[in-house]
Amino acid sequence: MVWAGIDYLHPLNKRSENLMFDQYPAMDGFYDEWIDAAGQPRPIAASVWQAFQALSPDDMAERQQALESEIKAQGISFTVYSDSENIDRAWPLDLLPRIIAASEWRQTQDGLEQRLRALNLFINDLYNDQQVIKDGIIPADLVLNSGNFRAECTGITPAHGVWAHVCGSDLVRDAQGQLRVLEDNLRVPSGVSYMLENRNLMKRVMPELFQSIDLLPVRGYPHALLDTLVSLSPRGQAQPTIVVLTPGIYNSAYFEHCYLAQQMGAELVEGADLLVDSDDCVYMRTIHGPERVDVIYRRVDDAFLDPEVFRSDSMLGVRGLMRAWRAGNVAIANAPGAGVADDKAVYAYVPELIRYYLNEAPQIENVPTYLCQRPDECAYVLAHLNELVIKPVNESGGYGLMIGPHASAEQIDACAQAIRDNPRNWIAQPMLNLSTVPTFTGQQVAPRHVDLRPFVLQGERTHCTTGGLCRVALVEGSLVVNSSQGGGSKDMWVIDDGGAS
Amino acid sequence: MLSRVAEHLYWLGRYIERAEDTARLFDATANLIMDLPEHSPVNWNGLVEAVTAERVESETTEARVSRWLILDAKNSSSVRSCIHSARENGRVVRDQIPKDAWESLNRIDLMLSDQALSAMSRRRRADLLRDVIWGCRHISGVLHGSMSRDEAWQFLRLGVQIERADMSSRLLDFKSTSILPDNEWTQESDAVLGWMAVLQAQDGYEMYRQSVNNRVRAADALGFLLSDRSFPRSLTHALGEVESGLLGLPVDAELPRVIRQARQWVEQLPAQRMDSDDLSQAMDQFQARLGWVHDSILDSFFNRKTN
Repeated sequence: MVWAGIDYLHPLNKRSENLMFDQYPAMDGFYDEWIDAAGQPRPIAASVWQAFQALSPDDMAERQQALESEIKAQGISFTVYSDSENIDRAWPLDLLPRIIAASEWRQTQDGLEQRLRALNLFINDLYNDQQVIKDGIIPADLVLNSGNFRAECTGITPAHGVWAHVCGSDLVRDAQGQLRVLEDNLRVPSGVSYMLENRNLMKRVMPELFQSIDLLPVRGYPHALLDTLVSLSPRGQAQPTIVVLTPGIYNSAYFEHCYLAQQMGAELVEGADLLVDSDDCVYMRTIHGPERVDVIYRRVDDAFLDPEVFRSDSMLGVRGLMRAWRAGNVAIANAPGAGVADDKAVYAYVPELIRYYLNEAPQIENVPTYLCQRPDECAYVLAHLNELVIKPVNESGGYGLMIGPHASAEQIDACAQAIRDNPRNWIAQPMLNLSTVPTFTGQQVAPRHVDLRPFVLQGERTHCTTGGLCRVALVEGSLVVNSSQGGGSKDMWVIDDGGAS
Repeated sequence: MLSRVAEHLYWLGRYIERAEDTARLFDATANLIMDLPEHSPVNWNGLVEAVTAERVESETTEARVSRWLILDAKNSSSVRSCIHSARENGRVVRDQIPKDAWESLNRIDLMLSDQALSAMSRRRRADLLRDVIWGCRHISGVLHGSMSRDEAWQFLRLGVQIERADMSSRLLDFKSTSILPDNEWTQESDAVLGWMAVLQAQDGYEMYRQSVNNRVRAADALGFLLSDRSFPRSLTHALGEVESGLLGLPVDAELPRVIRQARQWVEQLPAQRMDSDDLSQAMDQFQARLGWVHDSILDSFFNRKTN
């Protein structure tokens, strides 16, 4: 009887077909991750397509509901800041996964690891010999005047010469189907815990699919992170004391800090739990008294890390931490100052940096980027303002950005003036046609735009996640995938296609 | 173990236990009331005072007390507030406790915050209290079954046992003033009902029947709840757990000695011949001793300036 029940539930064994999929409209001018231009499922997506098509609309709604109640019950949340309140919101996850072939993913991983190796060589060079500037590869003022360049870090070479140990790179797929890097986050990238939880949730709600589809697992990440952090320990013992430094419970990524500490068996600490003693070593306050700390995986921004060196009003940091780090008594991941390489102007140079440091061709492309600093590119940008996205180089989080096709004539004039006044402060990129994935809206299955944030680790070795956190813009036509602005997420399925790497 | 983490675990233990004990006390009281003659002058204020340790001046009703003690977020001692505080502490030390315990805590918190404040029928109230009690017991079960017996466990248990001792002494204090004024206990059978309710509030009725082969008598029930060595909710048992829970932790010898003395003092209370006033006074003294133990734990482990 039990077996009969499972057979009955198995979607592949159901006869009825879900018409929502027949009516799925792919969008002109956008690459769809599930179906091709002729409306047929791509080979890698065919079995997933069939499985979901066999679910009745009621069944789909019921499973989406089950996902959501599971998320609530498990307390998987993120924090939204509004006026004076911090609201703990349930994490949004769509039932339909994003799919990629393992053969394509292996190439992408190689490209991302290559990129991070080059970025780390670049950061170490900047804080030491600055050969890259002397060789004229990148202009001095572009990096040395960046707000993320920390003069306090010069002369230091951290373990393995690595500064950015954890990198979250945002990938988008353009209309031609090519994956490109949109930006690299080298400061405190977040989201990896949601990637891990998304998979756990999907296993609970769609268990039948995991029997029939050859899906690569994602759960190795916490171990890889732990290995990376262990390899940084200044004392070199087998079991160094590792802590995750969090700004505290009101930080939007607190859930993740807690999750990673738990998965690694590391101590989750706040700034006030740590102290730097007169021996320039870092200790945590335990019930038995102070205990030496070897490696800090910090999720606090540079500016708040040490009130002795950076912002003196910081309540989140540890007084004397930079002293201890400079003395080589503690490892900090990511190292202070690593953010200098995730500046938008530096981004435009990454392909050249890969060639310069590794003597290799970049395996994964940037989004085409025009630097207004270069006169010919500036002229092109000024002539095509109404088609391009214009971004200031030293801002993050979308501030100061102008989207040409949506801008008024006045905005375009003002932008042109700003570029002429200070060309080196601006870059421009074409409008991105983010690829789409079928998404369950409750009434229908409709295309929604996605991006992808894989996480790349570098310590003694490099490691890249299997897939990453896939974010989806749930609002029709929207390209904004941020969870604070109506974005959701999808489980990212890397499916074994038997292809060679 | 970080001092801050130890403190959150301690409070997590206290709040889970307080939520369960309050729900249990309310449930047992409500059961008792249904056995009493209609229009008995029920002393609801006494119940509020037992739980919140605050004097209540105004006249109150069953509906208002239900709301105040179970669901009202404005009362920091309500079941809902205790569960919410437990969750907030649990959220900070989520990496220290088994996932199932966290999920269970989160579920009860969600369930309570979804409840409307107004118009709760007796039946719905009973269901709700049952859900809370079961949820808390599920958490205890998970913690017992899955948590390593390390320092995190010790601090959680310290919190649970100190809260249990505290709530048990409040319950006995409440019994001494009784839900009915003394002169209303006109019949011996009513008095027995009262003690049965107290035993039920302590989930100890069955264990009491096992240990005392006689009809329920006030003096026996009191003796059982004060100092039965094998019943885990007696005062002496809870104190014994607090004492053994400190083993291996860096405290000076004073603290275990005070706990031992308190236990001996409870064991020597003359349960067979105490009247209400004696009991009430004894429980006040007990709480003062317990308060000293709590303060010492705070000073020894959680005070950041001293370590």
